[in-house]
Amino acid sequence: MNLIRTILVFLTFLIIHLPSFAQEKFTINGTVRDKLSGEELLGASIRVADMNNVGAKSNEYGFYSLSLPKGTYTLKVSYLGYEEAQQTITLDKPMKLDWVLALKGKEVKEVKISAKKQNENVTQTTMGLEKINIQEIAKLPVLFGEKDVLKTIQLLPGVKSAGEGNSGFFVRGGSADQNLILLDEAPVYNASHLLGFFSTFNSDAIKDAVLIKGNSPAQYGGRLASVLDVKMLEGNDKSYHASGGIGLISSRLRIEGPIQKEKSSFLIAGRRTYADVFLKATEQFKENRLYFYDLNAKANYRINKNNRVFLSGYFGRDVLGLGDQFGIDWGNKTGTIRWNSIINPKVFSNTSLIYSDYNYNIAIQGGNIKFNIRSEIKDVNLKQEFQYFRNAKNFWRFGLNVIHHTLTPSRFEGDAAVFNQPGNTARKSLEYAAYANNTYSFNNKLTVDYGVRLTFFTILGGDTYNVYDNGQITKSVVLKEGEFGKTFINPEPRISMNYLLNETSSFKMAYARNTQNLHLLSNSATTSPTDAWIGNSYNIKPEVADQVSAGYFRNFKDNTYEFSGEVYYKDMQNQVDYKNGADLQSVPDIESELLFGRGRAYGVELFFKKKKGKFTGWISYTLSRTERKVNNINDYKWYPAKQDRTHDLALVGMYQLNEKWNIASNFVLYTGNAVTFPSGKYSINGQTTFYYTERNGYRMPLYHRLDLSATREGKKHKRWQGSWNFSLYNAYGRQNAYTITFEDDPDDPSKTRAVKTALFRWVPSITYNFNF
Amino acid sequence: MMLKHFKNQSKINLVLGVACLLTSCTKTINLDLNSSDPKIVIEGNVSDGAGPHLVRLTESVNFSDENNFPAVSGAFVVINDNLGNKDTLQEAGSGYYYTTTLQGVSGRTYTLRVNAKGKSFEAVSSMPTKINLDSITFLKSAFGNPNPGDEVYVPAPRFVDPLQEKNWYRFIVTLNDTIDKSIFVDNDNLINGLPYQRPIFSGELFPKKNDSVAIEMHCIDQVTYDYFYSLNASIGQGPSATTPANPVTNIKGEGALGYFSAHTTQRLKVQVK
Repeated sequence: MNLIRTILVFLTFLIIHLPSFAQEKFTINGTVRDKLSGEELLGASIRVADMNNVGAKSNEYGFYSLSLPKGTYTLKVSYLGYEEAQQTITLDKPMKLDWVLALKGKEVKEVKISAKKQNENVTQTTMGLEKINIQEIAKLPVLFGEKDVLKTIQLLPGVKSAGEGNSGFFVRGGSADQNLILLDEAPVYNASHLLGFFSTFNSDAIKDAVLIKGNSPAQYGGRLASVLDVKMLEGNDKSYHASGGIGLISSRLRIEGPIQKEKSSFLIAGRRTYADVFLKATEQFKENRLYFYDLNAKANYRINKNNRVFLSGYFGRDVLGLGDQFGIDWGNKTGTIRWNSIINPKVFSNTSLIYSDYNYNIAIQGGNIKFNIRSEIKDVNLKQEFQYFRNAKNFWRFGLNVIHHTLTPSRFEGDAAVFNQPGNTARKSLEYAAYANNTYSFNNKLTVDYGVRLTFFTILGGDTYNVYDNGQITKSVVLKEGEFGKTFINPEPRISMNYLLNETSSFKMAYARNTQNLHLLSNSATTSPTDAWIGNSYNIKPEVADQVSAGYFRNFKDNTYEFSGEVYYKDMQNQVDYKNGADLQSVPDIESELLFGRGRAYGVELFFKKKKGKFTGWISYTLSRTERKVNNINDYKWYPAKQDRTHDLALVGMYQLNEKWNIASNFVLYTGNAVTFPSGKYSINGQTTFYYTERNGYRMPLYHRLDLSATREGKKHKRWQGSWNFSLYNAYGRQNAYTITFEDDPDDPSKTRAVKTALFRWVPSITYNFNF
Repeated sequence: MMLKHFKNQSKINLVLGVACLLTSCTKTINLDLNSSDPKIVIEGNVSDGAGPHLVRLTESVNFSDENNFPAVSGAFVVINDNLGNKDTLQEAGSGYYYTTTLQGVSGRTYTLRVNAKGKSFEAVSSMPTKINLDSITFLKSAFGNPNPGDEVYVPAPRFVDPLQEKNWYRFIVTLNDTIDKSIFVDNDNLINGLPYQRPIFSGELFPKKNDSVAIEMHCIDQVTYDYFYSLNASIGQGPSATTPANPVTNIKGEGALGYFSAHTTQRLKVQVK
């Protein structure tokens, strides 16, 4: 219990602060919203004119609170892409002040918007944080013309794509499952559609997305590498609108509007691909099915001025089939009920009840054989958080989180006469955490954000847990239903510091420990719908990552240009891997096939962005290394992880030609993944077999690609407005290697050859988007 | 196992299939691969069928070399069983060594010793109980057929897996006179004690009506199963395949490749109806 005492001492230390000055203070609070739709704006900045480093930010529900000494102030509120608003107030009593901001109109000449302080990147304390501008995403060229948050973040430093056209991503040397992907607070266990070519996020339904690369504040937990926090739109509470898009591969439709004007609203957004329609037209794929659809729905209701409830849900499914003999379908379901309450002008509370489910089902049938393979992960999750806006320099966040996991591992379900059913037991566990986080500005220069998250993971009864040593059972733990098994406790301290060197530059440092109690068992380079999640057990310990990072942030020319340079080092423990030749399909207990090891990752990330003017865009470059060291693999020597890429470069440019036309382009270039290629060959049963020496000792060829797009805004007809988007993926048709395989040369069986497969040369697409 | 093979195959085919519609392409490339010292490769089999039983010794070559794998001659090869029978194998050329007296009997454990090129190797394998392959049935299939429109079939071996013991199987499929080069191994983890009737999905051969299909069934031990299972996994290539590695072998000795298997054997040949 020494550990717990240490934590309590630490927490007490956190709460004791430099005494606040005795001057009388009043609190201003309210919300920041979009003028037309009534949507809350998240992370809008509320500043006091002529007072450096004093201000507030609207939280994830658009709420802000700011306490200032009695006096007269000019408050300025700004938000990316919106007109700044300002108001002079005389503060002699607590007041409520709601803001509405208008979207920057076309008629406003870009040049005129100047003399604004848009230096959030310099002043914010959290490191490695990237806010994704949803409006910007729409202009960038993408594969199949389907704009995608997950693909846009891959153009940022420290984030790597999982492969050609893939929505999977790796952050700072982490694997794909080490990203916590949240949709309205609900974890999304498989964020990809159609074998990774699309993400589950329909950008029509998204309001805001933030990516934090490993140094997240204490309210987030559960994954090692990053947090991608995606928030859905609330729906317009003033009038009804519809918008959508018609593309070559998929179409989208969104409907939103008030239920009771300015009191409640709803939003429904749907999307479906129709690639299967084209497939049906070809003789070869006639009997196949291949499509996905998803649906986002949300409603909210203002009970009174201090209380509001939100209901949001996501449902998505992929269906893939070959004739009537083989079919697989998979998908996520999430649901969130939230209750926001302003307890007093300084204390904001949010309670969330979250449900999240991911499952897949493979159905195979042939003659008198018929069986299914199913797997499911189901979470019920309760969160309570308080935000305490103590004063303009001191902000607290603390809360509790309890998640009940039910993990049903992949099992055959079939005719009992054909398959002996091995019980299909679901494993249950409880993951719970308490956290406190404080953001404190010591003076005009130094702001510290620090906190601790105390994470618990308890194995719940109902199954037998075997302990393995080198694949052999050494012990069995039988846990009865209702019994509590082993509990893992992990304190996770987090600290970030921001030192403002002057108004345009800052130096930041951060340390964070993250732990992960659920692990994805994936044997392949890309994520597959059948990858299985598994919890901690008597063999599998929580994964632990310690990351330190430091960075220099600088803005130039009145915040027109923004530059940042960050370095990081990350150490990872208890990484899970399969042993060579692991039997994944039929082995009675997958845990006997696992190996454990360490990981390390380090790198430099450079980012330079032009934010204003007719031409905008950025350059992002990452120099990094990611390695693993696993017992029984590669003679227990460090080897490069699959996603280790030395260089990773992205150039993004957008240019507003005139009021109608906007053109954009991006170029990416990166070192090929680390791969294992043969260093020899031999014959087994007359078949050429390859001989391997070291793990991941080779490289795929250099990858590079240029994409182009043009958007034409149509004329506004009464309410209807349409726009055309033309894009060309891989404009110069480079045949980037998707896979390299080795085989006997069919033309000359005395030789072997290496065969490269490339996907997607010159993929053009046209999308018509509309709203009314 | 066979399912896995099939699943990977389908996934890759689908990805490539979809991508093909959108201009994907494959081409042969030149890669500068490392060279490696020649390694001795052992393929040893003892079956319950009529002898002689063969052990083949060859060497590995570099990737860029021709598929001409040098035979190892002048090796000393001996197989013992657990009853004290010992057979020193005779050299037949092309790397083959054959037994003269050794009997393959279920329940016996065999030890292979090889001394070649100054290196010594040892491997142990036990011959399992023989399970009778009763029949072969055929299921109509729609999978991976290269000529849509043709009606193709998938063979399914039928036998009863015994309840009392753990069993591992290997199947070698022949269509007319062509041996299917795919590796088919399976175990009874999910069907212990039940009638076996899993279809063997091949990515290579597609039997049609009136073709003749033969299945050779081997009852193998766990080490042999592990070898072929991991060999198959390492053959799987492409985006959804595991990181390739050398298969898990039962041969002990520096840098050994290959396997030694004591197994039963039975062959059935039928016409697709």
